[in-house]
Amino acid sequence: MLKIRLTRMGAKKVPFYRIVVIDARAARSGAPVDTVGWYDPVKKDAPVKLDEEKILGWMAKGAQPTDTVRSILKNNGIMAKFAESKK
Amino acid sequence: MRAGFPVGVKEICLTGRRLSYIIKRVGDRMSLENIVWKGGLLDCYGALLTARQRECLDLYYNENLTLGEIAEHFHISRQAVHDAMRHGEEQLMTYEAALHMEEARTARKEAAAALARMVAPERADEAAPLLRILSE
Repeated sequence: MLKIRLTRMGAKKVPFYRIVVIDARAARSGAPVDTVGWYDPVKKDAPVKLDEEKILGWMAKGAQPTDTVRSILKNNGIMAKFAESKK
Repeated sequence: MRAGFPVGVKEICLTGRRLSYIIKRVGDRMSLENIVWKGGLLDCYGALLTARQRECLDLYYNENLTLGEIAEHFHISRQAVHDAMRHGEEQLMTYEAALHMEEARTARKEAAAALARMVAPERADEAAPLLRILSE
């Protein structure tokens, strides 16, 4: 099963998170299938960038977001769009 | 709310032998603020934890794995992961409550950002290395 999850990049004490699509069984060694966004808490206003088209595409193929990613998607209206697309 | 705490966390308080932190809203454990805060604590004090505690917390907060996935990764029970994480988090809170390193780092970072705004554009290159040291 594919999952959409946050993964931390960046240096020690300088966090930067990517939102990736990855095989659920690949813990930290596995390479992500796709990168669909990022979150930079260091920058002012902690911007979140999401590739909506890619995310909707992967979710349509069955990728499951983690709780954290789900809340990000919900805050950006992507979960609502996904629910709409399924109707 | 004190500097360095994620949104919603009011204070770290001592309850008996255990340290706990108060979250206003329920279900904030995996909020972005909490993940970043715990990741910062792990950066500061991770070396003081046991290897198992550090790895479990790292996979949970930095790789966004579930308890079940971590348990599968280490071939241990979900309960063992939960216990390792609970003890590890308590340790992190204890260290932060005593040393305030993460809090101080956040305050330094904010001070550096404020200073950066005050620096004249023609002296920005000169000030950049100093500001980087201050924000580290």
